Amino acid sequence: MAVPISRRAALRFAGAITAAAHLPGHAQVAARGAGRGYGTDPSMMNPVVTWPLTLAAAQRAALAAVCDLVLPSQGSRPSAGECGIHEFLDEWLSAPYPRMQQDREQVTRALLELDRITMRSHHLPFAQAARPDQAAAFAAFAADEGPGRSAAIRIVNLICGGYFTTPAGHADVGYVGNQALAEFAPPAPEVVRQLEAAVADLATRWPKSSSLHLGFLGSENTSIHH
Amino acid sequence: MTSPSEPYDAIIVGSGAGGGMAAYVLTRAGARVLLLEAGRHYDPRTETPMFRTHADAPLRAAPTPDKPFGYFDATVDGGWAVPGEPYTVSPGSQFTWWRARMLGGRTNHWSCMSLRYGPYDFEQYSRYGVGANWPIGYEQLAPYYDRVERLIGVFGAAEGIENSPDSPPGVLLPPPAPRAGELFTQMVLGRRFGIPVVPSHGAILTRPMNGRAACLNATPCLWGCSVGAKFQTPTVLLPPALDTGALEVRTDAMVYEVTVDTRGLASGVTYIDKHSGAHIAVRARSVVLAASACETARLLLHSKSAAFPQGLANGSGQVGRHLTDTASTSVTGQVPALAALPPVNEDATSINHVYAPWWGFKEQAQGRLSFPTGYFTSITAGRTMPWFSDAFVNAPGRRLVYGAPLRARVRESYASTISLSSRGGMIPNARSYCELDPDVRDRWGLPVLRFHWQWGTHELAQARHANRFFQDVIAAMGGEVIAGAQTGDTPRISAGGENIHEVGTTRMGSDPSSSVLTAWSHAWEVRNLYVADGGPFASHPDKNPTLTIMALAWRASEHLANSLQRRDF
Repeated sequence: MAVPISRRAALRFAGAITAAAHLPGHAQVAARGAGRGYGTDPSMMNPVVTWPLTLAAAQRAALAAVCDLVLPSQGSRPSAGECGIHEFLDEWLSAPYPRMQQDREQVTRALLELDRITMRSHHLPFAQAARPDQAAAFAAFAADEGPGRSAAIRIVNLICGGYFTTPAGHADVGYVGNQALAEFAPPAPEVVRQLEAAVADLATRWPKSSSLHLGFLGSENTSIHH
Repeated sequence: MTSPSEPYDAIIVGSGAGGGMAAYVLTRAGARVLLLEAGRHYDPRTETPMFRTHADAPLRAAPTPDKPFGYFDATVDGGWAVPGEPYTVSPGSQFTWWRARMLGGRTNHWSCMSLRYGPYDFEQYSRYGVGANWPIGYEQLAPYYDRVERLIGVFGAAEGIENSPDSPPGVLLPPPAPRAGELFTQMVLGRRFGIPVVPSHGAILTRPMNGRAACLNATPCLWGCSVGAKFQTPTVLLPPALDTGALEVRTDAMVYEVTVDTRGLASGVTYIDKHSGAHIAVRARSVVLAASACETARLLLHSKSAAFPQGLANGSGQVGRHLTDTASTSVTGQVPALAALPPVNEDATSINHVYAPWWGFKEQAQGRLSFPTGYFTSITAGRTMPWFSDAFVNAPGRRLVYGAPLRARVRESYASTISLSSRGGMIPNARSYCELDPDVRDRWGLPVLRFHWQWGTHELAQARHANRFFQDVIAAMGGEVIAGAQTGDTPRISAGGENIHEVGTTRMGSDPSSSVLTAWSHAWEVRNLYVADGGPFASHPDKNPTLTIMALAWRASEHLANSLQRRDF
């Protein structure tokens, strides 16, 4: 399975340039993930990340571990970490937009809590803990009924969003488009037969009336004329 | 037609669907035309990100304040906010206004759904006792629908649907086949509910035409189209207009006033050159406003003079009134029957290939429905390119899934998701309108629009009905509703402007006291001033407005060309 590297590498490179440009005078601002967005008229042909990537190395390492817990490799499918989704998360969490900044706060807190859990049990930060210990820590964190659960949901969703928009993710869900077709073909006969069988089965549970949509009139049964 | 002192026969403000069509018709009729566009030059042939994926864009092309429909959306310097050009919304109103600042305007990211209005839609007051009648009927507009469809290329079929007129034979291009999920929905709606699901009508070429390629069945239409298969004015209407040699286009030209002469006729416009900041006056024998319904209203309201103290063509006080948008509600479900289907390429055209036209005319006539305008059902199903949030299968309140089971959950969700959305008509009401804000000005120092918005009881009842209906459809499919269900009888309905179908702010009519424009789309008070966007609409039925904007623009431009030829002004 091809791992999407070239475009991501290009984006990271652009981000790194921007980061370097910011370092002397604006490092503190950059450390908070601020910077300029790509604006309202960015290039469609040469997309560029315009903000510095500002997660610390330890945060990136921890997120790489979380990526592999959330979406481990499966058969020929690479894991989220192998696809570089933690690097995408750095791009996301460094972005100067309100939603991403909100995510940054939530995810940063989550990483601190994961560190706290593994430090307590194994005297190691989360990123350096053994894989089973990382798994146990993430499970304990996600089991929390309060902020932990909602943070875990958001982290899992962000990793999914990052992964399933890559070629690896496309292959996994069965997206086989983005190819020119001279003509869009109707569903194959075996697909139509499958749908017919499904509908025939559903029909056994439908009411028998022939003008069934009238049942939806319900409380709307008043005059429209004023 | 021109004389040395009158360099232009017409100035058109705006290069979207209406302005592009006006430029096409007027130049081909021999008029010399200046087209002014507030945004920058834009060429879909060189700026469309063909065959990219979301992973090719920053943030996986997820929405941001800079690009609310995602990075690759063909909207330049626009969206729900335009830098330096704010608008305000009155307390208690929910309204949002999508704009673009680019050649071609909003046609560049338009979905291309192209439904003709039907005969009932032009006689709303006569039929339902609410809203207003148009001063024209379907029969007056039908020849222009024919011409527009032939010119721009619209696919579809003749189905004999009540109040959804068929096109004459040979006008429409063949419709694309339905996707599997669309076919499934057609089976369920037809067999369980007796509701027909028919091919959509879309302004996307399914056959090559006039040097434009047929659809490649790839790349979202929202991103634009480099091969010209999708309708956009920069690739379809402006090139033939430019080929006449009679069209001059100036971009980055922010028009802020329509000027008048001592006769009370429009004499030209004044605009700000956004590069130099210079204020430039240009003169012409006529002016066509096609800046979008609300921007045109703003321009008229701002064009005050001794002869027109309330704003140009606003002696009736009707400019900005009767603002309407499509009313919609959406329900999303997961249907196991679709999850087991084999993966196939279902990108096709980006538009939904089928839809369910409104089906409740009989029930409305019997007084059994409490809303006079119907809704068509938009059906979204298929294995198209996954969006960032499509894989968000974990939701608050449900057991968190990750690890090996997560892949299976995402696969099932991706393959089995169906969304049903209503596209409903709206009755104009006195609480929905726009006016100039007395305090707030934009970066050019011009007063901005202030919106007032309330849905009426009709739209709320319609949305309530549609939402309940969609939930029952998902249930009949054996599916589970995962998003969009209303709570009890409290309607879930879009915000005003959210459907980007705002029309009606300079409506046409038979009575100058209750309308701004005549049946020919020129102002009652200024006969060489025409409006060619969504402003002239006297009603807002369930169908998308753009095809009708173009048909009306063609009809108005033909009338103007004849008037110019006769030297009526």
